Amino acid sequence: MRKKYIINNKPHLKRIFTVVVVILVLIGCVFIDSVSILQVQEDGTEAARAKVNTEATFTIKGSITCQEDHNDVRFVVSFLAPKSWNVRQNGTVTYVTTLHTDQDEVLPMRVIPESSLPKNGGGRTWGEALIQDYGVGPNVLNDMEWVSFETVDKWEIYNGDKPQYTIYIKTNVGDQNLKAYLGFFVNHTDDGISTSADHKKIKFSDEYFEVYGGVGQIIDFANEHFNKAQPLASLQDDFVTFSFNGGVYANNLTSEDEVYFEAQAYDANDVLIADISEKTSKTLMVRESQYNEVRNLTFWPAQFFNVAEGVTISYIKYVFTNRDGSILITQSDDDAVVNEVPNDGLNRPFVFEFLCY
Amino acid sequence: MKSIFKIFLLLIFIFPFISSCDTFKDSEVHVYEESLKNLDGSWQLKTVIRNNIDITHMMDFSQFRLNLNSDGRYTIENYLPFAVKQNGEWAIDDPKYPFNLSLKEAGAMEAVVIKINYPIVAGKRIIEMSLSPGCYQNIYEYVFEKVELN
Repeated sequence: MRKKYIINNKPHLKRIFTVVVVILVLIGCVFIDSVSILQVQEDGTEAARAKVNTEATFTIKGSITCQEDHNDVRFVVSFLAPKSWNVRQNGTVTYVTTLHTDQDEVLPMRVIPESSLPKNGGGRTWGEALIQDYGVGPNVLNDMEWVSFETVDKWEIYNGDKPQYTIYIKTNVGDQNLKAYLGFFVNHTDDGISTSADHKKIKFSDEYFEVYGGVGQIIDFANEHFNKAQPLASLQDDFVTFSFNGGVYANNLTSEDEVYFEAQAYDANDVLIADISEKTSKTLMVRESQYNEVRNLTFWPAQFFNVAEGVTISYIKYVFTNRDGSILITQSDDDAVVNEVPNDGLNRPFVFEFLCY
Repeated sequence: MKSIFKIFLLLIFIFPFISSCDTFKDSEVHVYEESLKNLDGSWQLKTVIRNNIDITHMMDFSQFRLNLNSDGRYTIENYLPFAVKQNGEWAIDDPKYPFNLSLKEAGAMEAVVIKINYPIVAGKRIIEMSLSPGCYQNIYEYVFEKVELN
């Protein structure tokens, strides 16, 4: 009330207030109008999937309603994708824009180096700021990264300009079968991830993108499962966390006081290295919090499986069980609930491959 | 008359402030010299951060010890994935501003050089270092605290 009184009685303050409001309104700049993750399939149809080791192109269309002048500004696009795609090295990003005199000329973008920090990112890199502020969106596994690109050309954009842009992100989708929601973020170097939402926009794909046709497990970033392993890219000299998430689907194990991790380690020739089935503190999974049904076990695999010098674990098979082993949660159980199909009753174990890509 | 009185009052009010101001002249020239950093001792692994997530509470890391002996040799107790496996010799690049810790395993041709920070946190010196002992994509930050001898 007091502010209103002052403004109404002091015309010059009213004018200043109006100018401030107008400036705030004028800063309304960058928009994402649509995102397409569809790829042309062998039969000519379009679908949100690609075969392993092929290139996929993701398209972002947007517009800018600029109501202030910017000189020497670079436009930025960031892409959230599985780390295994290695977008930083494999990605090629181009764009067309009506800002350019030749609106059909495809112009290049380049990876923003780690040393080039966003202006308002608080000392964080573009990737750090985005993963901390937006995480991995609707995905449930963290082994994803935001990779940022900027226009090679600097642009001058003036009050009243309303350019449109189309960005093409082309990248190899790697050799792993997977399902993941993809994320897209647009911004520019004058803003550099400020707290205002006007100069930046973020959008995650409405459906998940699937990579198919490879060997091995499907790594499902998009759906909750009974099991989770972090980091997905691990070797036997990492610290790996295996989780049993008993809260996502109905099961008999989650009500048990103690849940254990049972596993067998194999080398690349499928020779058994170690079989860990003891029910001790070594294999007891620890409840993450009283507010969820997640139980974790973190270990150094080389030590856990007592791997001899010179021996390398290629993969492990594992299940979750109770103290007397009467209840098991396996891949068979997970497939049944996630895919809503009858349980095959084979108690197929979960498999984790030690890979570094 | 009234205004003269006001000025007089104002001067009385201002006077203590003016008179209390003095210019301090520092006649002594201080030369500050950075102290030599002593990393000798037994260092206990206190914190482990994996890919920016603190996993210290998820397993027992506390038994791991890096003993930097004053004779230039180091030993490792209760080994966990680290930059080196075998015992050997250690050195720092600069005793005033140590930024690199080099560990040379016994029998090795070259030393492994680890970038370190050596700040004081909560009154204690700590050693911070980043490592990737497994997959190169996984970055671990190890934080060591000196074991106090009683």
